[in-house]
Amino acid sequence: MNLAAVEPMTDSGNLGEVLAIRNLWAKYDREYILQDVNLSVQERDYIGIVGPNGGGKTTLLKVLLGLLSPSKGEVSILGRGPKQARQYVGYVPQAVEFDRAFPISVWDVVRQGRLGKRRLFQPYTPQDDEIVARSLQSVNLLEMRHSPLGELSGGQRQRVYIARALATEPQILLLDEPTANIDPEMTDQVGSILQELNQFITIVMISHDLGSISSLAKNLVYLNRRLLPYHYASQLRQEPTRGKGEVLPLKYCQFTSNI
Amino acid sequence: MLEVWQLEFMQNALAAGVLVSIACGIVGTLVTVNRIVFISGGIVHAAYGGIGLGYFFRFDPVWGAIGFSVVAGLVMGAVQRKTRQRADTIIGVIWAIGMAVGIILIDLTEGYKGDLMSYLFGSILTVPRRELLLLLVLDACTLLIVTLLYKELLAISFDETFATVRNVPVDAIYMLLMCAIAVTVVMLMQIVGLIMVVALLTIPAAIAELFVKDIKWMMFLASLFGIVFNTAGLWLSYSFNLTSGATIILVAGAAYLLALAAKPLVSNHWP
Repeated sequence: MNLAAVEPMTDSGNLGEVLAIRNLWAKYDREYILQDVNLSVQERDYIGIVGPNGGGKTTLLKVLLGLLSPSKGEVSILGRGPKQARQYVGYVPQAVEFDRAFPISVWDVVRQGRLGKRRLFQPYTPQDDEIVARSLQSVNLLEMRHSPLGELSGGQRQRVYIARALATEPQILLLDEPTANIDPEMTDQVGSILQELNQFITIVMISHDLGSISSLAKNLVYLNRRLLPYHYASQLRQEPTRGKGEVLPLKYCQFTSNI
Repeated sequence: MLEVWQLEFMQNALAAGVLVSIACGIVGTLVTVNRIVFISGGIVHAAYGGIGLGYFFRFDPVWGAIGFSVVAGLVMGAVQRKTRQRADTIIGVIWAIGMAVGIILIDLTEGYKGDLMSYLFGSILTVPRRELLLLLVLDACTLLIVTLLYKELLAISFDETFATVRNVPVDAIYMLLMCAIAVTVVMLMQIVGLIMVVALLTIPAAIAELFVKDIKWMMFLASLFGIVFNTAGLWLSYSFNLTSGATIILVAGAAYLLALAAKPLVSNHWP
């Protein structure tokens, strides 16, 4: 893994608040899926949000990406609203099965990370291609840049999506179930890449699988409509070999007192 | 064999086939990779309402068809994007209403309606010179749109959510694609007829998709296949006195079956 490839993507030095969620309520139709959620994430933190299906993890991600407007409350990413902050946010979608026949190469997928940097009608530049190459190098897939995406394994595809997110030159990475549907060996590879990236980039990852997320994230929170500190995370983990897995300290994460 | 192409109407038909194949290869590729063949079918059948409108109010039915299909395309596109459930049902309803409006308006129209069948079964052999110019403009517009918006079209086709997060105006580009489909299918309707448009829109792209893993090459190859199918079908229809639109579709269909059979023998994709 070439760390130099991703190092310049964020300013080093002052650690500060990257993501702030205050009194957030969000709903689909008439049902509140997120209820009074509060969270503060510091620079270079690595937060794992764990919770059951239907608990609001994907809804929270949609709010953070500016795809869903909250009913109440405030979300601030690097001091901006979610839509305004998109250029600083790298998004890695869930590793779901996709249309393997779709005619697209690894290179063209990662290039899409540069979309926000170019206006309509403006083609990609050599500088874009340089950043795309560096991003692919960061996930050890530069040699496979000409391969069709459909010929890659699940783990390799997930690394491509991480490279695409890195090509946006993000200061914060949002990952949606990054290790779902991939085998344990590839899960370890993805985990290693994320841990090295975390030296320079803040990571927020959601998962319903406590096993995989607890060995990766520095801090865990539990989301089931309301956000809670994961008090039992360390007890539930049998061998926390790599991750630190501490319960999120209250200075990082403020919760509603009535839960 | 060559003397067939010295006849003026065959030259026009050949030119129409080539021109429509270019737009068809490009738009058909986007239809195929976006999996919106059903919407394309809905748009072209709804266009029949515009043909009826043209007959009833005595203006060129092609313009009626274009107007009707663009509106139908925009409505169907909006339904597809905004309706979480039953989008296919609503699209099917618009499809049927469009056709029904066309049939009723044609019923109410008095006088001779001799060329009506040409919209249903195509009339490549009677394409006039002025229509070739229209097809040329369509090709130029299609190429321009796809060249200028290629990176955005690829992005929304592959991963719409990611494109939205990168601030691509996904809704606007999707609606532009609907308009491009609407105009292309109306042009195509005059070649192979309303009933067979979807086949010629999708078969060349579907064959190309079997062998290439790049959308640009898929568009190029689909256009090339379209030209081959049109030319071969035209020649066969002239030689054996068959309906040209149906012959073109049969040639394309046979090629698709052959391509499916040949696919396992071709281990590597190209390029």
